[in-house]
Amino acid sequence: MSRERVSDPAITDAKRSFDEACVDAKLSLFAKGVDLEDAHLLAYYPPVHRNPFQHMLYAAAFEQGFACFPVRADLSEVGAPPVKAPLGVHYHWVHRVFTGAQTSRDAARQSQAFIDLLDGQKEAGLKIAWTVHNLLSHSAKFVDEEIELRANLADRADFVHIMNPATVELCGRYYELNASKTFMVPHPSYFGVYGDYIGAEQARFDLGLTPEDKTLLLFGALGPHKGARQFISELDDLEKTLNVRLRVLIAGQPSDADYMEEIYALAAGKSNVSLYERHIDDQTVQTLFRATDAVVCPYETGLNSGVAATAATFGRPCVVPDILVPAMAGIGSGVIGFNPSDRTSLSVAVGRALEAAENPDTEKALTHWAEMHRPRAISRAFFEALRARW
Amino acid sequence: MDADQKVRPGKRSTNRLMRNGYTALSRVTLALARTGLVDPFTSAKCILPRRAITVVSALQPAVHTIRIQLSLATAYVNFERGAATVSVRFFTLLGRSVKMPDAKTTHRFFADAIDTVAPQNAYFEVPTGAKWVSVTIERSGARRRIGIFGSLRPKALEDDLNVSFEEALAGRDRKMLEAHLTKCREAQDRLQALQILERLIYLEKTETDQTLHRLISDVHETLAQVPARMAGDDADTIYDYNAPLVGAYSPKVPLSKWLKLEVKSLVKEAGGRHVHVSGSDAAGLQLLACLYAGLPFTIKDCERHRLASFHSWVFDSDFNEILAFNP
Repeated sequence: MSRERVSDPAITDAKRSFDEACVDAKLSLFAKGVDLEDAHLLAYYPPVHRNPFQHMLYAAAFEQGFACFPVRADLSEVGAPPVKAPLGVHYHWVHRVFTGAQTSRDAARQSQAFIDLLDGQKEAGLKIAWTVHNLLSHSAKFVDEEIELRANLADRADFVHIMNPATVELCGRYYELNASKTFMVPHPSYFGVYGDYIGAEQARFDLGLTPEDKTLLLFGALGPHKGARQFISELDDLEKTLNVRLRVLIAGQPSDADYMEEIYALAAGKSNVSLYERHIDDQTVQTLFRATDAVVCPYETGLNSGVAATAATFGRPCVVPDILVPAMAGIGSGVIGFNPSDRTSLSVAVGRALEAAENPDTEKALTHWAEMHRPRAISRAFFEALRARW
Repeated sequence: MDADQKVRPGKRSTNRLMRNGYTALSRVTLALARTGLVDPFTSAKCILPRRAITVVSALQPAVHTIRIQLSLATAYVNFERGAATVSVRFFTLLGRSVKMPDAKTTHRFFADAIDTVAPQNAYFEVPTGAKWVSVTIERSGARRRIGIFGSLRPKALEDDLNVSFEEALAGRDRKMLEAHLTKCREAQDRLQALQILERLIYLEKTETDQTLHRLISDVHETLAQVPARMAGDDADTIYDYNAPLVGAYSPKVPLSKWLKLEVKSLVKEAGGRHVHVSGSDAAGLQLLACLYAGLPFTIKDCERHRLASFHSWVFDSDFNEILAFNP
């Protein structure tokens, strides 16, 4: 049975108030054997359902004396907890604050309202945690306002979770992160998250690929920030440089209609490009990754990559922008960096990835990394670090 | 069946509606309706067109709530839930859209079987500053033929909501049901309040009604199962219990859950001591915690008439019963 979502919000978002969630959290932690005074509550915002990241990061929360729950709709209901308890709010993709904004003025007003809420939460004694997923959101429409928002959040946050050791330096171009507030816990792998029971041969057969096809996968939301357009337009040159006929699978949910028109136009003339422009459900992810020789993340920039972590989970080498390489520390030669401003480096990196794919040790090393970075282990590390700083 | 014999989807139901006096809107009426200024449904029973119809109306000064009254019919034997949806948008005098956070802006109407068609009301709160309202109606399914009679222009609220409890419960009018909900609270009758909410949940499935039903139901069950008071002398070792231990009670939390947490803290703090309950706003809650914790207690410095003040659906009569039962 395939599932549309990692978890169905209609099921997993219990219809309860913030106050009730706090009481439930304390009762559940008590039942787990956590002392009532030591029960930590962590509300998170915004809850995201198609991306399993939050479920993965919070997988070991209870073991560590934390109960995490989503802020369902109205962030303003998050204030002092109705029960005596250490309470924090964990922010993720904060560009959501700009939802519905039509103009820069709207964006600035919404940003200010959010900052006022943060101030109110701090005054109520809540701890503020923030996971820096990106330098700026991928589709940032109000860049100045988003930089301002992030600077204000960084200023007010008590704890800043980073997944790339270079985050402080890289963000410094836009806004300042106080290094003393940061703690580094890497992105988890997707070990045990997606269905993983079919073999490469079956997957290639299902997709109509021959065993000899050199196959690359570009995976994830299809938007201008993901570099698929430029990659397809450079595909002929890439094949010439590498002297190989490539099959390219592009899979993900379209996020921009105009951009998709360009993708359709480019892909129309290339019989070796297969486009799956839709959300890929959890049971189908394996087909795409298992069928692939190497995964390519031809992004202009980035800070962390769930796609690279997914590639490692399925034992597939991955090509990523240079700045993403430190985020995958310990992974060995299975992650190959390229310089986005030097396109020849992309050809070299793809060539190396295809070579790595032929080496059986690559898959072993990658799956070993994935096992070491399995969600529960990373979650444990996250909460240990958070508790030590609380 | 050859091609000529095929019946277009909805054709049969259209015929049945027409036999019962519902007519398709003329091209002229439809064209006038598309201006948004003409209400096409007032003069006669019509068949709701495929495309949505919108009517813009000026709002009466100082109006807080508007009512849209429509009667909908289906050719099917049974009624259809959510056969048509009415949505509203409010505007200032100069046409800028205004919204009230969390306010309902859509209402799904039932379509009744032809023989049992009755008018239904939808209510919408008017945001501050709104001078215009646009009301849109559209069919929920493309194939369904729906008959309609009524008006997309707002009507004044009915002054008389004074129907009997049984009538309100059999009807579909939110305001009438809400009026009875208020009466139930005044009459301290949780069971009837739950019946009202069950009807509202059945009709509209709103989260607010579901939450209130859950909270009242929880209060009722919690108070129905209060354990017998533990006997005990006013011993030397006293625990002064003058405020809830886990924090101020939030009425958004089901009473049973809050008590579970409070009881755990109380048992830990009081140990085996005799508890002296004192306090004001939450004394009733503390008393319940003592009972559920199975601790002997004495009520000190509490105003009996305020024991129930911590929750709007807990009443003095509950404590009279509890204290009489557990003297």
